[in-house]
Amino acid sequence: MNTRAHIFLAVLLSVLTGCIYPFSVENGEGEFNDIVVSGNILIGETTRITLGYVYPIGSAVSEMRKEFPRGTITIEHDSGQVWKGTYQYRGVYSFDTASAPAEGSYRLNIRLDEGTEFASDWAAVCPAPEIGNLHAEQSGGVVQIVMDLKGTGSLWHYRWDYFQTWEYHADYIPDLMFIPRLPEGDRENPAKIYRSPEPDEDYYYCWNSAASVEPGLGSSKGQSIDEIQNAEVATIPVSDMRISHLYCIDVTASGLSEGGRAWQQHLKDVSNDTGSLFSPTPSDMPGNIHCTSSEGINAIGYVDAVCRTTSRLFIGPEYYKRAYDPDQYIFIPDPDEDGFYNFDNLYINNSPVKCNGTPTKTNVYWGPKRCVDCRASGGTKTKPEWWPNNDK
Amino acid sequence: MRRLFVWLLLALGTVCAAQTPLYRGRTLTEYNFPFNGHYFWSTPDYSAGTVYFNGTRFSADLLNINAHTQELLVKESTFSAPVAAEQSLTAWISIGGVNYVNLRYYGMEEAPEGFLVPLDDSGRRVWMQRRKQFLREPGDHNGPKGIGYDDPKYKDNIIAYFRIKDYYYAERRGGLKQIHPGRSRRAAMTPAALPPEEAPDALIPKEIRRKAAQLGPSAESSLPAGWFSKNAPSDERKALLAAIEQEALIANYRNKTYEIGRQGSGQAPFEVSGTVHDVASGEAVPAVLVTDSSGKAYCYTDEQGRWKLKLPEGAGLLTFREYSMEDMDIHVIVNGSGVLDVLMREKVTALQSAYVTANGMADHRRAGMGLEKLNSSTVTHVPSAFGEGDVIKTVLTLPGVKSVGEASSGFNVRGGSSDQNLILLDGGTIYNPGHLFGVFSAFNTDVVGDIELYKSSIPVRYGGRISSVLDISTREGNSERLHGSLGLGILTSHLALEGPIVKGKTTFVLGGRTTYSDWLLKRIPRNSGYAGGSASFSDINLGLTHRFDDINTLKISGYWSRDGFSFRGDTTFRYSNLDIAAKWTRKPDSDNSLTVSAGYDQYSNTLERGYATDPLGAFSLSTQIRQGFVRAGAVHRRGSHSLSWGGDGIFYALSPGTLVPIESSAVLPKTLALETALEPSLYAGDEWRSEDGVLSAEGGIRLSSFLAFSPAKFYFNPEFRLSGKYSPLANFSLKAGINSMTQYIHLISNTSAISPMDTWKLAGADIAPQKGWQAAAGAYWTIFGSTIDLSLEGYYKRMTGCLDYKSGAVLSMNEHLADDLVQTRGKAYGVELMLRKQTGRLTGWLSYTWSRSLLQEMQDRGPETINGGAWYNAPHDKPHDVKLVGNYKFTHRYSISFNLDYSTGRPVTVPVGQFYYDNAVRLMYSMRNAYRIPDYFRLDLALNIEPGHYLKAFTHMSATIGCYNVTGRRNAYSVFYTTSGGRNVRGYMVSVFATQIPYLSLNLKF
Repeated sequence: MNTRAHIFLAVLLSVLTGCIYPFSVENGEGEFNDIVVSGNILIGETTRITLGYVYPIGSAVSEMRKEFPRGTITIEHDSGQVWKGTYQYRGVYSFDTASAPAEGSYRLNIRLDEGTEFASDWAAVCPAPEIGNLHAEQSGGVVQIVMDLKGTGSLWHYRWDYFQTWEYHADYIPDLMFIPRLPEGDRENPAKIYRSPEPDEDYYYCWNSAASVEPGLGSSKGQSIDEIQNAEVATIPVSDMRISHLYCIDVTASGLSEGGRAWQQHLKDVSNDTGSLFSPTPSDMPGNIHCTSSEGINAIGYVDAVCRTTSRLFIGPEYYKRAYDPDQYIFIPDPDEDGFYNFDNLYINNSPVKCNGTPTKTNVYWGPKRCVDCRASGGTKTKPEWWPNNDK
Repeated sequence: MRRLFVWLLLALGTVCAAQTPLYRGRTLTEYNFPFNGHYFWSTPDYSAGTVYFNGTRFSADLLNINAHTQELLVKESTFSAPVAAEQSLTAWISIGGVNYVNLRYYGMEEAPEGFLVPLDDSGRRVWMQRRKQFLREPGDHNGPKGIGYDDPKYKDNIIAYFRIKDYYYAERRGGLKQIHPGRSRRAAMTPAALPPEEAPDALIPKEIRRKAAQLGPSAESSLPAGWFSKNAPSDERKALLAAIEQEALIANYRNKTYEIGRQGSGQAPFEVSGTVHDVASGEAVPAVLVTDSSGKAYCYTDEQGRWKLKLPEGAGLLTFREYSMEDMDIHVIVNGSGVLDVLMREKVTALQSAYVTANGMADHRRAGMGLEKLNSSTVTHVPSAFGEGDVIKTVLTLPGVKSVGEASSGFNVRGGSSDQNLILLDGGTIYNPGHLFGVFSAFNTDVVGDIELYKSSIPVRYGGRISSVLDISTREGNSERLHGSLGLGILTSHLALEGPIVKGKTTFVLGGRTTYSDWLLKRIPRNSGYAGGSASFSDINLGLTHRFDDINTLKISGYWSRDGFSFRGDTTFRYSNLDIAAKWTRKPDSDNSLTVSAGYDQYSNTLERGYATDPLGAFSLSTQIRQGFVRAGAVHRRGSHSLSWGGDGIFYALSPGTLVPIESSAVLPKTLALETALEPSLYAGDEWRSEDGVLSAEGGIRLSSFLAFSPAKFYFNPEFRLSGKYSPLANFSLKAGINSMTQYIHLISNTSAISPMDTWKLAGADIAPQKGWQAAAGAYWTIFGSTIDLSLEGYYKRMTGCLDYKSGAVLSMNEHLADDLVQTRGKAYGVELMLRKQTGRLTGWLSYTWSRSLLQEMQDRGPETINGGAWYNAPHDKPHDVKLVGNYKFTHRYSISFNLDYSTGRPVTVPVGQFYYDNAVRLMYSMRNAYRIPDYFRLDLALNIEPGHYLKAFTHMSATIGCYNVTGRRNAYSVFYTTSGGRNVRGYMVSVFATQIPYLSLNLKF
């Protein structure tokens, strides 16, 4: 193929490139009367129900965290037993439903301080599914954590969330620590600007954690067996620091009613899966919470009463693959234009890493802070009590 | 030879009496060959001479010989048209001392057809025949032997010329043998001497003359006095014509004034009828506008090419117009009722193809409104993505026709939804008219013949949809010889063959297309949303037409298409169309016709979710529509009325869903109950036109019914059609009409465009049929010498029973689907302004449409009622719509086509609020379709190159180089917002063709 043909081909290939383009999100206007009720009634553990407002599109997160509906929330069992919620923070109400019976039906009653009342439909308790075969497997450049879910009773719809915790390490245990803000005359003396680390200044081991944001949803309805195989829980790139040393994922699964599953799936779809050529036209789907005191005010949410089950999986560094050489990031600092080693200003986001012998102007290597301080990567030194190794 | 002549001289006509042929010949309309020479034997001048014709010797003043057709030409006067005497009846001619002898007349079978001049070749007898052959390759023949032109642009201007060649024959044992004498020998030959008072046949060998003696004695006579003179008494001339008729004389005429009927045969106006056929293919040419010179009497040819007019007595001019055929004008003198069969020739130049219709003044002649006609030539020259001629995309350039986006298969007519269009291919229903996500339409332009879109006045014979009818018919195929075409494009290729199976009786058309788009799709970037996808399609058209006789015709056609694609993972989609139909047409005369057709249609789609993704949940989900249909219709013309009546029946078997597991999947097999129903209808209609053509009207009633089985439910809905026209001026008309329609099948979809997984649902006990009516009125004005048509049409449409869906509706495998659907009413109104130029170098149309299309839920469901029960925008509501389609012809070879499209952005539902739910940001949406995407604008350009116009060339290559979306505008297909997994809100715009798309399309005809 000659050059002209190549050019022509290149033009052709550009035909369908970049079919999806960013589109500016215009800040919406107007006020919304609707309230948002999120959370399910958890049987056998503490229930947390969150109330919130709807904000115009494009609102900042900080704006959305300012105000929350306040009122009285109760969980009502069909036997007449009532659990009253306790306000915690940011619209969260907690209920001690650890000993709530796993039979019967529950509903949520909300009375806001301004008098508006809401109630959910009665919801029968959905038994917890069994989590099985929770494991990790590598597929291409990612590690997929998958599981099987097996229903009990008449359960056909499932939701799962996870909480992940991981231990990771800094690249180096530093030989020296930099002493900042020294008098100007001392800044040229390498012997004065460095010190040895204190025993409590061990920033090599860190732990971090995160909860899932997007729940997993699945259904075995229409199948001969009430089971889902290879349900995807999480996907982690093989180069992700989370699996560099020890990674733990706690998967929590619960059943859902058919309506609850449809509502949550719809909410998930219209928030994330619109825009393709054949995507459904988005719309709002009514939940099972209704305003009982006045018309024109909606409550967004679907409350189910569910039992949950949890399973835990540890993953070692066997999947971790990263072409990373921390030595390429360390360097010997250069003096400023006046010949001073003005570390306070020049290397404010860096730290000394290692030194061969007594510190001099030319034998102390510096590097990014994350090389010696694992906290710079977002984690903490707080080790979970149940963490299964002796790192600290 | 004779047929070739027909090709080059554009038009032929045959005039026949009502029962027996009056004269049967060809009108050779005056054709300007400025550089092409002439077809006369030696000189164009006519000279006096003697003729021995049909056993009688005549003397005449103005004679000549056509060396191309080898016919004797006789003129009545210097300025009159020549009469071509039938060759087989002409024995010899003597002009200016040169004798021309038809040896075949004397039984010499081995002699060439036509006339030969006896020459003396050094004492031996040699016969010479001069032939002028019509060629279309200018080549290097620009010399003294050839045409004698001197035009630097001769390759563009000249499409044909005559090649002259003399053939020599020596007598050998009572026969002839061709010889090839040298130049000097030929120069030495002299015309053979003829004894005084001897006829030229005295020069014929004795053996042959003995055979000729058996033909009967020759009678010495002369033509009637003054017959060929300027002052010929007309009575005498007519008497001779009568004599000619008695002798079944067949003669050819050039630029002749045809006399139709016998004088005194009745009271005027006289009924003149006939047929129009394509001279090259022999196919009947439908939709030819036949008008008299006054413009008041007119009609269109039907599918069999038949036409009929009532004409006043006396001289007149009949014009025959069809956009893809060369214009034909025939001078007639109407003495009584008679028949005029006409052959028309297809336009050679493909550069004049940007017509919707070239039916000049057409809007002033029919009462119906909203009819748009296209043909494959138009379709192939409207620029389109990837250069593939596209029927649907061309239809979208017409006013009042819209779509929700570039990659959508369906279209919307005057506010109707995409399922409200009845799309017929040879009578079979096409449920999904798109290939490859809608980038291409399902119709192969190689085999497509006529395309008719009825937007408003839908003929009473059509039913079953409430918005429009798109009736596409495939061609019958060339009845004379095998033809084919091959097209190569960036993503697709197509091949078509057509020709006779039994010459003149049975023809076939076979066409196929396929794609090789995977190579491109595999290169799509991951962020495009289409990464990892694959797509393919193919389709096949087959048509067989058999003419039992002049009255009965049977056409069998079949269409099959298959689409398959996957976007990501192992989820695949497939759908296919299958249509088989047979149509028998009987036309015993020009006043009566009967058409009976039957067929089977099938549309099926399948979604497969693969085993790798979900071992227990792998499934195959399919839906299917099968329908069998029978239609019968008759037309009877009486006086100023044209009555039509008939009936049809459609049997539906709709499988709403079948779910089966794949491999060891745990999915339970499930089949939703089969929906069956019968849709029988009867109809009757009438078209009336006043004698002067000022007033005309069409009306009809269609008794539509529907019987759904299990559970049984019967619907009966009479439908009405009425339209009228008033033409106070010959070039100005006012029209109005109203029609009502019923539709018993619904498209179940929650997407804006027709999607591969959309399914259909029949009306029944739980879902009522859709009903609609439309009232329209318009004014039509033709100006600047019939070159520009202006039209203004307004309409108001109401619909009920349209389906929309509830929020969160489950549309697939839903046993209680009706519970998830809501019925809506709709209203649409608008004004369409159109300017159309059909002749000249620049052709095309400019249209502006202002329209609205609104929906409203029919029932009150409280807070869940869509938009609180208020009217809301239909997904295809685009108030402003401007379209400019044109073609500018630089030369016969080069033309450019352009297409400009602007419209208001379509309505969408967008998020207006956001909230936290389970710690994830979620979206709250606006009222349905309350917002709009950005306006749409696109300009396409194409350069059409026709390398040659040589009809004799074995192959004919043409090319189109074009660019779709020249400005590279990123037109939004949709705008959507996502929360990026519940974290923050981001907006995106989907643009299907976000940049310029250059293309090259090569087409080879052979």
